[in-house]
Amino acid sequence: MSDVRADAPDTTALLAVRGLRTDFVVEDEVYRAVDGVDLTIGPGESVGLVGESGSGKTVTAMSILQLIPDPPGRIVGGSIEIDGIDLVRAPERVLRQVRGGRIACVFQDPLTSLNPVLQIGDQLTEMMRAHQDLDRRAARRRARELLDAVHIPQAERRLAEYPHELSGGMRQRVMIAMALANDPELLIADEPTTALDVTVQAEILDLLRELRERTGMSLLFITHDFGVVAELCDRVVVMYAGKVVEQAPVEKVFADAAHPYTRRLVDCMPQLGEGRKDLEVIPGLPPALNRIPDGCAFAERCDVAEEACRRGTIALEGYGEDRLVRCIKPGARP
Amino acid sequence: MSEERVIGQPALEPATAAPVLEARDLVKHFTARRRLLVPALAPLRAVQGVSFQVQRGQALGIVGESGCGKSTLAKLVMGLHEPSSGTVLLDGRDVSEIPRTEFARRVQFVFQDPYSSLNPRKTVRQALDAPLRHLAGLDAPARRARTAELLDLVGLRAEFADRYPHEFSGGQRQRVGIARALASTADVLLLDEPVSALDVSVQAQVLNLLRQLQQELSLTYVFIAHDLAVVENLCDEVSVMYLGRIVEQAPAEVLFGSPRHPYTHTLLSAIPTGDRSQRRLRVAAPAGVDGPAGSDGGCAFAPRCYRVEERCNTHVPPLSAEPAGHPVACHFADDTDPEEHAG
Repeated sequence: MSDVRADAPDTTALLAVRGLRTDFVVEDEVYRAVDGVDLTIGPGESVGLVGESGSGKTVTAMSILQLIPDPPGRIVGGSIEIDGIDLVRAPERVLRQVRGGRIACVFQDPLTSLNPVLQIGDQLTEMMRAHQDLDRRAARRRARELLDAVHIPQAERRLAEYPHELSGGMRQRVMIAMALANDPELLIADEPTTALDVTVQAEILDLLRELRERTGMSLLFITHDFGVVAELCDRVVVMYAGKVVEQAPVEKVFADAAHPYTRRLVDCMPQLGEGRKDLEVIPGLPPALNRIPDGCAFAERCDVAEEACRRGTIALEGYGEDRLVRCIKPGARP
Repeated sequence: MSEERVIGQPALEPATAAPVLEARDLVKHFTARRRLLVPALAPLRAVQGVSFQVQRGQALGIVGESGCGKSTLAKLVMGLHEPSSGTVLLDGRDVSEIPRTEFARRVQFVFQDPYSSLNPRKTVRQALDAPLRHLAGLDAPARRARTAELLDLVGLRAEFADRYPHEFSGGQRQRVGIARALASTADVLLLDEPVSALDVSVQAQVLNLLRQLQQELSLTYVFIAHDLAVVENLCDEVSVMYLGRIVEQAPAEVLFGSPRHPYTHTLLSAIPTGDRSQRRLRVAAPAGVDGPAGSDGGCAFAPRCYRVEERCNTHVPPLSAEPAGHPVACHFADDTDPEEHAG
């Protein structure tokens, strides 16, 4: 189902998602949340996955982790390979090794991800002992080191605290510490700073950047905020209605987006220093995922669409030397 | 802010007459309930002497981090909390002396989360009906006509009137929330994070709508938000709050163009801009939950401040426009350039 031929088998990739399709079936209606997504992440690379609610970015992440609730959800096509292991077809035993081991994750709301009745230290050590052969003492020592690594002051005392005793920023640091516990090769972070204040967000972004430099892990950072992506990521993947519509080095997306959706999404964000003015808007709404139209799903809202945009299947094709775009008029302006 | 106060005269020209809405030295303390054998906790001082004025047709933005007291301030203005001291004035009248219904005809609230602020069992028509009947005093045919008008005003189709909240997207629901606030004939809206739950493309639509409604209907806004770019996009004046106090107050272009308080500098530098070469201020961890309760002996921001000196820990800096410029609560307001002091 892959429609990218340009950068086919990339042996250097750490993670290679090919033609991923994930459906949700609700009352006999099929909702195609992820519709043929191709995504590769190289060792040490930082990729930003950007899109609005319902674009399929979180479902893509959950599919990689094999955490799609079934029913109602199901991966109906494609493969997700890490080091030759296809996670879609791997047995649960292997998945348990990969999740929290080679691939770790951090979610938006740390309070719902942490166990409210367990002390921080117990949650960290449980996580490590599930993956590594460590005695209680050694795990405890390592837990302390991890809290130090994410700059939580008074780590020893924090180990005995419960999640509710920590602030939002501190909880997210604990989540990051847990994610790092088994030296993952890939960290998937799903909107990890969206619920935080700007100053706290800045600290967490600094922390992620520092950890990435130190450990060399790859990062898949899911967000709707281009500013955050620009600070942290090398490459941006933009999703719309379950499909990747553009993939480009981060600086090119801002300066000169190739897909009309990307261009308009960048334009409708208010920027400091612009004063009071009307913002560009994207009229209309994304299509319902059970009624995705033929052709380009964005055509209905697009300012450069023509008749041909509403027919057939539009492929994700190479654009320039290092970009991919799913548009028959890439770079067009109204 | 130095206009002559002309009480009781209807303000027709914007920004030249008395403020429509004014807060004078508002204070709100929350006291934990006394329990036997448990030592009393110090009261939580959520709002510690906040004053502001909003002129007709203007938008005042209030920004700050979570826990700074901005939502408590909004609730004090709305009369949803009783202030511990201080007053709120509407057209120069103390709101505690204005009957509830009369107040509700003038001032309405738009909440952050349109999912939970609309009754799921009521259609849009039913949701608008109560304010149209009880506050606007319209009869049935007039209510029908007005409902259609209001929906048109907020950019919704007339046939949406008979739909339920779950049938709408987030942005549409926020439009319904705005229509409901306007149904009461209100000309002053308190907007508490009205776009922060929305996707960026929808956020832009709602911000444009708010700006357009403000111009068409000369509405007065108090706009509470944590996103500085959003505030700059909509507001004339901005107040920055930190732990219960306003620390800086200025016209938007002045505040964002030449901030004076170290906290404002810190907030602005924390916004991810995409420019990786730009060095951020090192931002110290925010104060814990005990922040607002304590903070007696000095500037509440001192523990996080890059410009801190001895004095900051002993003297609370007053909000003052001296010696030059706009009001700011910092002992070193004229010497806070992060280029010189940070790092």
